[in-house]
Amino acid sequence: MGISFERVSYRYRDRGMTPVIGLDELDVVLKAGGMTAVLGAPGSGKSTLLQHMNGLIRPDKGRIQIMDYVIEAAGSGERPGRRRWGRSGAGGRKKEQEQGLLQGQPYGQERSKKSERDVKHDNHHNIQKLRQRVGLVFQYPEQQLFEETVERELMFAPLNFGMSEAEAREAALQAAASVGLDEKLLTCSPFRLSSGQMRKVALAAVLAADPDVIALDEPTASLDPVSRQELMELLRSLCTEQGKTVLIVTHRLEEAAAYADEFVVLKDGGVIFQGDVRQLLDSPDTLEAGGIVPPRAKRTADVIAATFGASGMQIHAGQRQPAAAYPLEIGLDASDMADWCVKLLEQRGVTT
Amino acid sequence: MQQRMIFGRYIEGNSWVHGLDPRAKTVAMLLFMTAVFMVNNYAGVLALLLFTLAVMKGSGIPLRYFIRAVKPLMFLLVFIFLFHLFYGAGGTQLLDVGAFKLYAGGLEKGVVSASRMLLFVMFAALLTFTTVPDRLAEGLGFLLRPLKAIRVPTDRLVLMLSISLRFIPTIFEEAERLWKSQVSRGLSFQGRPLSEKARLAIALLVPVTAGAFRRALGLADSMEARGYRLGAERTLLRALSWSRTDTLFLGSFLLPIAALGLL
Amino acid sequence: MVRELKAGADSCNASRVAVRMEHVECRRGEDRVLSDLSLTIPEGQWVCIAGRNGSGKSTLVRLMNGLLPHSEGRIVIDGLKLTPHTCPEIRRRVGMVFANPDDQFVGLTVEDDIAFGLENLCLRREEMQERIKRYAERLGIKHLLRRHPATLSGGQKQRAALAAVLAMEPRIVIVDEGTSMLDERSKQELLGIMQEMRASGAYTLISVTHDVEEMAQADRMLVIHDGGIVADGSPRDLLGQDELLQMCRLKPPYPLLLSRELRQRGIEIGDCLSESEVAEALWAYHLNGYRIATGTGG
Repeated sequence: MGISFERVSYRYRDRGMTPVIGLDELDVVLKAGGMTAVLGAPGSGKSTLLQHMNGLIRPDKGRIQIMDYVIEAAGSGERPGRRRWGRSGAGGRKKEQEQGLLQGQPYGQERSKKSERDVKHDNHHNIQKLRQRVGLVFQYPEQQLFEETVERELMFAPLNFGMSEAEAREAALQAAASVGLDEKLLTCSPFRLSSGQMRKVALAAVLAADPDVIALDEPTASLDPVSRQELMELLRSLCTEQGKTVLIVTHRLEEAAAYADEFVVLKDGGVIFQGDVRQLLDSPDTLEAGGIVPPRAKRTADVIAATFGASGMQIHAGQRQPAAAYPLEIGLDASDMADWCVKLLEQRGVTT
Repeated sequence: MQQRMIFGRYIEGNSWVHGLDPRAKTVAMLLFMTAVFMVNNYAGVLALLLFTLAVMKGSGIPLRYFIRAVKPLMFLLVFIFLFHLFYGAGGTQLLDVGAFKLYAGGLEKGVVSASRMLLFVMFAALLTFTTVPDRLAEGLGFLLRPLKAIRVPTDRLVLMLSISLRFIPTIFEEAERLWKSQVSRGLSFQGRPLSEKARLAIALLVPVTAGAFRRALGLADSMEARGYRLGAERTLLRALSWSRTDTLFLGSFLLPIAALGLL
Repeated sequence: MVRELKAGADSCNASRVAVRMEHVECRRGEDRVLSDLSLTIPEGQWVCIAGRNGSGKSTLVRLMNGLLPHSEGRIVIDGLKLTPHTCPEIRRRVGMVFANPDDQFVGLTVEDDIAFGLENLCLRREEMQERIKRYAERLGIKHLLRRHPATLSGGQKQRAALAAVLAMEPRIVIVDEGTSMLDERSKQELLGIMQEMRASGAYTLISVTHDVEEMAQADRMLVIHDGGIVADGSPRDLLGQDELLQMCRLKPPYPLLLSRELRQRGIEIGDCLSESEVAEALWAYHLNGYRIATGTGG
């Protein structure tokens, strides 16, 4: 019931002379129920990956499975060689109806009018269902707000997905509670809130539809450090307490390191790494290729190790041993690091 | 929303068409329009088409870009063609099927009218493909200069134009992101009555407008902080420089016009 | 004009003080955003301004070049009293970089954007070309001069914005949350440039920020809260005060946390603000302990 991308390619054809690669034969399997951080330099395909998650972008090639929904490139079955929008025949449609699949069917392509309407409706219905189950939060989501009150804002998605007014109100209340918004704020205009609160409202507005998967693009951008930490803790709790699958796209490993279970690094539209934080920090090449700055703790440890190594060689001719690199299994917080420093000093014959 | 308009975009290149003075290109556009409206027979269309293709070739931009620029107008072109085809009269009768009678005159009129539209769009596309928008604005500013005599603030108009050109793609991009954002929250116009659609449009209009205002305020701050004052004197980095190519280019436009006059 | 500028000049040690504010108040409608605020910034200092969102820190820096009007008090910038008359001259001497890399890009190419400010200065064409070249080179964006902003990354845009400001050769540069929307790597690059600017001694640098790494590099730190200055001191002193950090919604810098932990374990080192400081302090402690243990040296 996880999320899988199989050899998914997508190109942006409308950005200048040559098509720009969004994704290039990307393969990845993400398990349900965890928190995954997707890292990579600007332009590595992070946001493109995110937009594939609820059918906003249809792949040119490949197959995406999100829970029990499948999104396939148009005509991938019958015309494997063809990249541009193709037609899938009646056979494909039957299969889709039987299994409740979505096709990578672009809107408004030529086919007989009657069947076009059928397929569109079918697709539309399925894609709305998928969008209810996969909540997508874009960068600076507070900019999407438009309603007169916070409550109406939170009810927007539930109403769109077919809940009644009363159900939507209940959903809004729950969503507000789950992001820690004061109930009193529900009657306020969202535009009168602080930027941190506005972001919470925007997040709650997506959570109100009760999605199983929530995918966020740079959720902490431009927030102050305390709000950033609060938001990350909130996302973590969605994962642990409500069993949601959380996917965050970020360039700040610093922030994700303590919260995400799994890390995926993208480069040029493909996956160059998948694993936990220790494996990632152990691979300087991956960090370099992904344009990722290591967390401050790791940088500090590296500088300490280098100082003891380099200076040690010059001064103590008898003890030519550079300090070993910081063992990442110990942990990155300051008290673990201090313990390591003490051990380092003891090895050099200094007792504290 | 997905397929962004290609028309009106600048495409980087180093061809001689790219290097032309924007004034030459703007005046050339005016001359070309005159020629397009003068054309009224096959020979004229053919001459103009060859001429346009030659300039297009010179720009080094692949033909498919022009085709994409014209595509959205395909229906209009076909409509114009058919309209003239069925209602035009004169010349020899070519076909007579039931109620439809096709005349050679109608056919020519259809071809000419549709080609006019096609030529016009292709040439306008050529102009925008090969000219950085603010240079186009400068060229326009130069042509508007006589208006200064009647106290029209042409400099400000040109700055306004170039800022709008600068921000249109940004605002489009933002609108696209907001559209996707609302669609992810279930916004869908499908199968809803018109009144409902109008109400839902607010979900897009409010944030897009707010975003445009936010950007405008930020831009105003940045301009003021860099010493911009309304009406204050400024110098300009770019001198518009007229070269022999420009004269030749412009001169070459008189050719088809003269030819048309003769034909 | 010249006479007016001279009349506005501060008589005593005008050349030494970059910014002087005396009992300044700023209102927005009914609300008092800043009240009775006094501040002196000597030339050449890097001052960073911290405070939670809405504390008035952005307002404070916008008063310095007249982007926002002050209702009470006196503001003297680089020896000139800020009045509607002197405002254009002051804006020439005070450059400002903003948070959003997109909204401060006026031109359709990097070159045009840098030119925009120079055109407002009414410079000759050759002078403009020379400055564009020099500052683009200095900020490493020479290869980007012909590019459209849409094709640049956030970090590149922000560097272009800084180049556009520096090309006007201001004496005071204000960076208003200039790193907040950048990716980590671009942020490090921009901080590096700011350090070079400070080292050159040619600028007074004022930065508004939420980033403790940036604060740690400044000479002086100001904390704004509820429209007034509540703390003014060295980053080392202020970043060590947890109540202040909480007030600004900041987290202590990692090297500082580590030095505290080390002290708890009996390793007596001072509060360190950077990675290399911790490492050096540990090394010094180690050398000292080594000497005691082996009975060598002092």
